[in-house]
Amino acid sequence: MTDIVRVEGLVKRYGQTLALDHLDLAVAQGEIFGLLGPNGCGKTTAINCILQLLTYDRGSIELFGEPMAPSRHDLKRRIGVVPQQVAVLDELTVRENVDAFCALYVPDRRERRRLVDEALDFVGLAEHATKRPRRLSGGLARRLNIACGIAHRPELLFLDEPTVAVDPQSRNAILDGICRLRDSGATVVYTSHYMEEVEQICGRVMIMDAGRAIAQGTCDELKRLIDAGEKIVAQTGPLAPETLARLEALPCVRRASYADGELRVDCAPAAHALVDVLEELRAAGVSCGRVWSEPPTLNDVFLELCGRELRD
Amino acid sequence: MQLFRLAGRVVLRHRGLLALYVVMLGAFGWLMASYVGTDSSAYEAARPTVAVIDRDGSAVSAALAGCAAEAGELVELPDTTYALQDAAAKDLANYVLVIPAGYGEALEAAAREGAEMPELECVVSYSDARGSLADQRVRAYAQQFYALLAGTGLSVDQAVACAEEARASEGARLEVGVIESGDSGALPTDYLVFMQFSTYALFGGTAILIACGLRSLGRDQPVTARLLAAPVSDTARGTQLALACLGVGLAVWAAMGLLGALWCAESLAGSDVRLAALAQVPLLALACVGAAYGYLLWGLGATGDIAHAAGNMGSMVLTFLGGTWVQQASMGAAVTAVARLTPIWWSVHAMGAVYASDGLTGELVASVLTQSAIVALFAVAIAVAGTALARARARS
Repeated sequence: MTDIVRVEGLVKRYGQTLALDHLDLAVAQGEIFGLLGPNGCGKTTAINCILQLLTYDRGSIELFGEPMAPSRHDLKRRIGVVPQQVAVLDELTVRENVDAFCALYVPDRRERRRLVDEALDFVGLAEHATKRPRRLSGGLARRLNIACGIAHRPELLFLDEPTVAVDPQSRNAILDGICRLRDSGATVVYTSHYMEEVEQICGRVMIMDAGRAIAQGTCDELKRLIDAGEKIVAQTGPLAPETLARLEALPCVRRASYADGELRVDCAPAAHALVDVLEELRAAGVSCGRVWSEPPTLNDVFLELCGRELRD
Repeated sequence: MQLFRLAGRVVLRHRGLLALYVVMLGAFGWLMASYVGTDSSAYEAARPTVAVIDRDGSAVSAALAGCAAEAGELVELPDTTYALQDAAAKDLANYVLVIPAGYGEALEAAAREGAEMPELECVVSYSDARGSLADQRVRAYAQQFYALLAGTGLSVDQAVACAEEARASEGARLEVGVIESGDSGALPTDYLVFMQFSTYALFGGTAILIACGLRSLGRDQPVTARLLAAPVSDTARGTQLALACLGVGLAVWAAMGLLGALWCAESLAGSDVRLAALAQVPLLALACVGAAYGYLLWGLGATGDIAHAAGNMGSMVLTFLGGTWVQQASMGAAVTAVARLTPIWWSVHAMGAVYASDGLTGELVASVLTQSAIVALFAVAIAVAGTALARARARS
């Protein structure tokens, strides 16, 4: 598949701070590519460099197979941006906002009217078209933010944490919309802190830390990278310490803990330990209530790779 | 020109600012113009109510009583402590003159010996200044006696006769000298006053409208990323936004010009329309200076509060130096020297030249255009400084 975005050896410094450290990135046409990383890891800086909003110290950026530069308006015309903050003008109505930003890409008024109508329908804001942004709820404002970025039908869309502080219904609507954009042929670069979202919609994911790409691949590929298997959780009666020790002694078990009537067992990767664990509990005469098994999540991968300590 | 249109649309949505800085300031200028344009024939000299208690009964006291009576409307007041206190408390007379017994003789003696004049007793009303005017007149008259008696060998009766004669001729002269105001120039005075007051809106109003109105399109704002990511070059973006600022200045100038023409339509009816239009040229240049100042504030990312403060303070200083609040003729040489370094000085002088002209001449047009060009140079200088500062800030 053709790479729509290709970044090689990108370096960006803010004084002594190295914001991007030889970042390599490739996004294929028609995919939703997730950029994950803790705060300050360089996600937004990378996007801003790709969009030429920031200068960079070293590296090359190609979009649609051509070198990107601040003066490449032909390439910029094919790109849409949805910034992290809701970037709309409070002085204008919802429709006027979408029209104003669309007008920067599409000069023809008639065509623009059609595109604006489609964008408003796409994000479900048609009935709020005459309202001012400050009268919209947080979720609606986020949807307006997206409408302003997609009205001109970009082939490549950068979405920087578009679902921050929105309710689950709005989030679902936004994620659905992003998938529909992909289905209509757009390529999406998506950053978020919500792992389940990324897992839900992104075909491939890059995890960044300290300006570097520390892992890249599909969600399954990333999960295979870490040394963790399924988690078994069982609601049980009182558990003797020796039973817990026997569980930990099982070859497929990494760690076992018991608290508040709930037994948690972390298993080794690729091991199917549920039967062994239940057998051990039965042998110890422990009765079980609910028992369930959780496969490793992207969140586990993220915490494993980026660490569990708090960041600034 | 999408950004230009967008900027214009955004500014127009700030209706509160438009109402405050264009309509209300225009109305203020109109009020001032209405006051100045009042018909001088409606003027009436102040006529204070005057009471005289003459305890002396001399020729001097009689003449002083006559002078006081002539200064206003005479009211009767009994010579009792209660009546005097009552008059003062209830403000029954604007001016109560009490001539003590022996005042005439004391005045003559003091004049002959070169001693200090004896004091007159009086009560001046607390409610207005008319009583003070009567008091000034009576005291000046008493000083006349003193001077005549001291400087000449005249007797008291002769001095009184002489002073009375002088007073009679002064009164005639005063009658003739009652303020004679009217439009002496090619344009009506109320129009000139309106234009003078419109300088506040043209400079400060324009600057604040731009700095506050375009704030959401400025740097450090959330929409910046969208604007910078759009396929619009830096030059085109800067040019369109600068043109938008200029457009705001033009709009404010046009609005003030229209308001002036509407409000002063009656007095402008007989004037040369070309002169009225010519007088607007320096104001247009001043509006451009306001636009450049607004662009500077906007480029520096001034917050709403700072923009309001900087716009209003700048306007206050400039209009003061331009002679809007205090006539330039009343200012000290240092202030006038500073005023010459400001654009408003040239604007006001160009307007004054049109006002004082006898008609439209090539020389007048050249003079006004030259002075307007000087004002426009201020606009260019401020705009260039604004662009340089904004770029330096963006790089940092």
